[in-house]
This record gives sequence, C-alpha cells and structure tokens, in this order.
Amino acid sequence: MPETLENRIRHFREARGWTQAHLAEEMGVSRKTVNTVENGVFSPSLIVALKFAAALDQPVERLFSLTVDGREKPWD
Amino acid sequence: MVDDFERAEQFARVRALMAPFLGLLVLTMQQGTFYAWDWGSDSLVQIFVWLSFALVMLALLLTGGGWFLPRRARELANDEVTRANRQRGITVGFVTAMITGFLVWAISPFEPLHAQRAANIIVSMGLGCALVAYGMAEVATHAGDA
Repeated sequence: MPETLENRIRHFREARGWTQAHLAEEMGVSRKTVNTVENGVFSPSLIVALKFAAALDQPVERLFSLTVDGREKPWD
Repeated sequence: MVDDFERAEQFARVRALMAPFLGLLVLTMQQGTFYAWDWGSDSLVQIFVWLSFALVMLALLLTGGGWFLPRRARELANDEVTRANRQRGITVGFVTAMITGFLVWAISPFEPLHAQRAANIIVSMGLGCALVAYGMAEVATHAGDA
C-alpha cells in the first residue's frame, strides 16, 4: 500500500503568523525548501525535518506523519 | 539591500529557466555546428573549444553554477530540493549516455564513426538530456512557489 508523508507545517507556521520566507530564514534554508516540503512536493531529510521542528518549537512527530489510504499509519 | 536569501532565490529562478535551454543548446550544437566539423582534425582550436564547452557544461551540472555568489547564497541556492533535482538529472543523463553508447557501438560496424564523433554524440546526449531533465525538475518545483 502506498504510504504518504503528511505534514502540519502550514498550520503551525500560520499559527505564529509567519510567512514561508520568515520560516525559511528562521531555519536557515531556502524558501523553496519550505514551500516544497509544506506542499508535500518534497520529502525532507531528517536534518531538515529537525530544523522545522526546532524553528516551530514542535516535536517532529507532530509536524510529520505517515499515512496509508488517508489514515495515519499505526507503528508496528 | 539584497540579502543572501533573496540573492539565492533570484539566482535559483534564473538557473531553473536557463538549464533546459543550455541542455537544448548542447543537443543542438551536437547536431549543428559540431556535425560539420572535420572529425579527426588535429586543430588545437577545435580540441580546446570542444573540451572547454563540455567541461563548463559538466561543471554547471555537477555544481549548480553560481560560482561568484557569496558562500552562504550558494548553499541556499543548492538546497536539498535542488540537489535531489540535480541527482534526477544526472541519472537521466547517465542512462541516456549509456543507451547512446550502446547504439553507437551497435551501429559502428555498419556506419564507421570517428572516435571524436562517437565521443561527441555520447557526451552531448548525456550532458544535454541531464541539463534538460534537471532544469525541468527545477522549473516544476519553482512553479509551486506561493
């Protein structure tokens, strides 16, 4: 079954009133990185995922989750 | 004042638009100007021009260019997404070069090719297709920008 990586970056970013450009500067990455990850176009490395978590002050597992057929995948 | 973030973004956008055209330029020159050249010539000018062009295109593909940008701007321009796109382009280029090499090898007993001509076909196809694939992937990721 195909697994997809979902994220809640937009939710937490907008809750802080930040633009993608501002988040990118907080993380020290390009705005393209923020944009493509937020829109699910690109699956980030662990390093970038941790940068998202640090910048948004959230645990990684709150920002990213694996889903199968639209449902969050239970851990084995 | 333009900071490193803006500078990197501007450069990445221009590069995304330029890369497919550079790829097409490589493929066009393969079929156009170089086709008319005297293959096997020992002209140092011809050898220097061909080698320089091929090396610059290869360096652009492997490094992403922007050699005169500040270090921080270059790092931002060559972000994780760009490196993944470039890897995709290099894979496409490698496979194209291999297939072209197989075809040149299979055809050469029937249509003898000078070594320079054969190398030109393989290198141009590989580099050209890699740059086109890399550029198209970059354009696609920039197209999603808000």
